[in-house]
Amino acid sequence: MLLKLFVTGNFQKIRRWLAIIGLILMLLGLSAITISAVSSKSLESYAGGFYMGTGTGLVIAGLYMAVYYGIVLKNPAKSKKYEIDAKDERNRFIIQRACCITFALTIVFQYIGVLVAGMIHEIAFTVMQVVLAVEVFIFIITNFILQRIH
Amino acid sequence: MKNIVAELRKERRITQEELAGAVEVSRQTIISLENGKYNASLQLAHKIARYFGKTIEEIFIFEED
Repeated sequence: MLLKLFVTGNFQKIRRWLAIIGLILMLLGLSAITISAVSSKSLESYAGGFYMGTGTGLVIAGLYMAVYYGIVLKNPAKSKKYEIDAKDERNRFIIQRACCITFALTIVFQYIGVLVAGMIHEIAFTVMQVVLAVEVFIFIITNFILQRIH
Repeated sequence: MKNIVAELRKERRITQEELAGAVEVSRQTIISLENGKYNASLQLAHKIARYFGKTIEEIFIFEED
C-alpha cells in the first residue's frame, strides 16, 4: 500500500524498478536464510530464528514484488488500472493521513514504553529512548527537506 | 465546497466509472466527490471542468464556513 506513494511520473519505469527491488529483497532474504543455516551453531537461538524468519519473509515478499511488478503488471489494462489507483489523489491523501496518525500514535506508545521500561530494565530504557529520539530526529529532518522542496 | 458533478454526470448519462476513467481517478473518488465527502484538488477540478466543458467555478461552489 505504502509503495503506491512512490508511484509518480513514468509508471513503466517505476514498475521495472519495483520488480528489481523485489529481486534485491529476495537475495537479501536468501542471504539471511544462508547465514542462519551456516552459522546455526555460532548464532544465539533467538538470532537464528530471527534470521530464518525475516529471511523467509523477505524471499516471499521479494518474489511477490518481482512477479507482480515484473510480469503481472506488464499487461497494459492491469498496469493502467494499478497506475490510476496508485496516482488517485484521494487514495494518496488517505495513505498519507494514515501514515501521519500511525506516526503520532507510535510516538505516544513509545513514550509510554520508555516510562514502563525505565521501571523494569536499564538497557531497554536506554534503547527505547534512543529509538524515540531517532524517530523524532528523522521526522524533523524529513520535514525540513520537504519544506525546501515544496 | 459544494459541487454539481453528480447533476452534470446524470444530465449527460455518464457513469461514475466512465467519468473516473476520463479524469484518471478511481470510481471511489468520484463517489466521495459527489457525496461532498472529499474536496478535489485544483488539478482534478480542472480536469473535471474541462471534461464537462465548463469553468471550475461553474462546477465547484465555494462556501464560506
